[in-house]
Amino acid sequence: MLAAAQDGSEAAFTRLWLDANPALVRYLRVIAPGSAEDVASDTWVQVVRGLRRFSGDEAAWRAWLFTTARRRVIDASRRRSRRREEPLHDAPPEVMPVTADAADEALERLGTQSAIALLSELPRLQAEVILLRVVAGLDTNAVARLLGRNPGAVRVAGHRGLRRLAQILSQAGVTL
Amino acid sequence: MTGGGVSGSDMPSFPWTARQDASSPEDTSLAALLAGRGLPADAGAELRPVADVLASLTARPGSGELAGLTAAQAEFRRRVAVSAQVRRSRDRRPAGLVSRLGVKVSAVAAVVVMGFGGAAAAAYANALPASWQQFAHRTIGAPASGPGREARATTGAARPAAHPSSSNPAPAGRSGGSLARYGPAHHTRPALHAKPPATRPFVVRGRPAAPGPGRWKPLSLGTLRWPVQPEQTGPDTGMSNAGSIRGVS
Repeated sequence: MLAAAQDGSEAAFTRLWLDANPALVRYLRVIAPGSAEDVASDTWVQVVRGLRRFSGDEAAWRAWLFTTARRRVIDASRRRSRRREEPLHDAPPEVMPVTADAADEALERLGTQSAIALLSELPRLQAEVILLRVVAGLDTNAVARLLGRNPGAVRVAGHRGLRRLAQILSQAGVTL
Repeated sequence: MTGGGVSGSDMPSFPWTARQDASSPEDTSLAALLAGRGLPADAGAELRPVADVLASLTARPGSGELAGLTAAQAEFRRRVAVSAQVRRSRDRRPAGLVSRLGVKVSAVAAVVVMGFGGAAAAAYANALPASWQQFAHRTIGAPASGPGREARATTGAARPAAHPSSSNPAPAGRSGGSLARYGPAHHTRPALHAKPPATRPFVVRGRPAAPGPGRWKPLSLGTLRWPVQPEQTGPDTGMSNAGSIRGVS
């Protein structure tokens, strides 16, 4: 599929996109809330530009896709910090958006959005490890390379994240 | 280590177990969850909601997650599909010899070919040093270096036209050479010749031909008779074996 897309097959590229974009958007909704779709679009532009030069299998291609997305997020946050935007938490409480507690929402419906909201409660590294392992389907070594950590740290972060998730769900009274 | 009477608080209590490196059943369950293998049967009940959350993360995509497909396809058409089309049409075009071999290899080949060609031309023009000329004589049938060379050098401009109607006098010693067939000597050969002229000393390499009817005797360089007088042209008088080069003696 990847080779066909590199050779110019739009059908193959569409298949790749349909396979990868939902996972990409879910990952970005956790690490770049509010701009996930925009960053995903920028990521695909970057990926399409480099598609012909890419060499590797489809697992490596997914790792490259998520690495590109993560770099776009970092670039976007740097741009925002240069623009010195007013942080949201500095706004007065009356203008803060009112959101339901993630655990309560999970009680009502364990849908994808609720799961993403639950993962957003975790520390950034733990959430990223869980998303990259479970959603992107990358192995520990690939995640370690992507995050610039060693595989042991990635493994520990993933386990801690899942334990923390179980704790949140337990406190919310979700037992099956 | 500690004797009797020591209080219990003096004995340190280590918070870790003896087999800290061994993975617990919980770790195995967590690793299975992260690898997408699902929850093992012996996993604790507290991990089941976690497994459901992870399953929700990999659920079928909603419509909002497929919104950017059109833009991505347009970018793909602009960046990849068009260039792939151009590449395919370029691949279908037959590549030239130079592009296949590469510019450097082609340049070297051209230099070699020109060098050999020039050397061969010089050999047939009898312009090489004596030892080289002998080598060329043995290998490609070029004129042998010898008296004829000096003789031709001395005759040079004083040589009269070979044929009354010809404006291109042939150089001596080239009339029978293989390259001479395509040169001016071809035109200077008398038209009445029914058989090859006798002045072909360069084609008798090691093959002595017995003189006889219909055969012509191979000549040595010293027996060239050139140019042929108009009255000498003819089947039998065109090239006599006797005599010497006009103008030399």
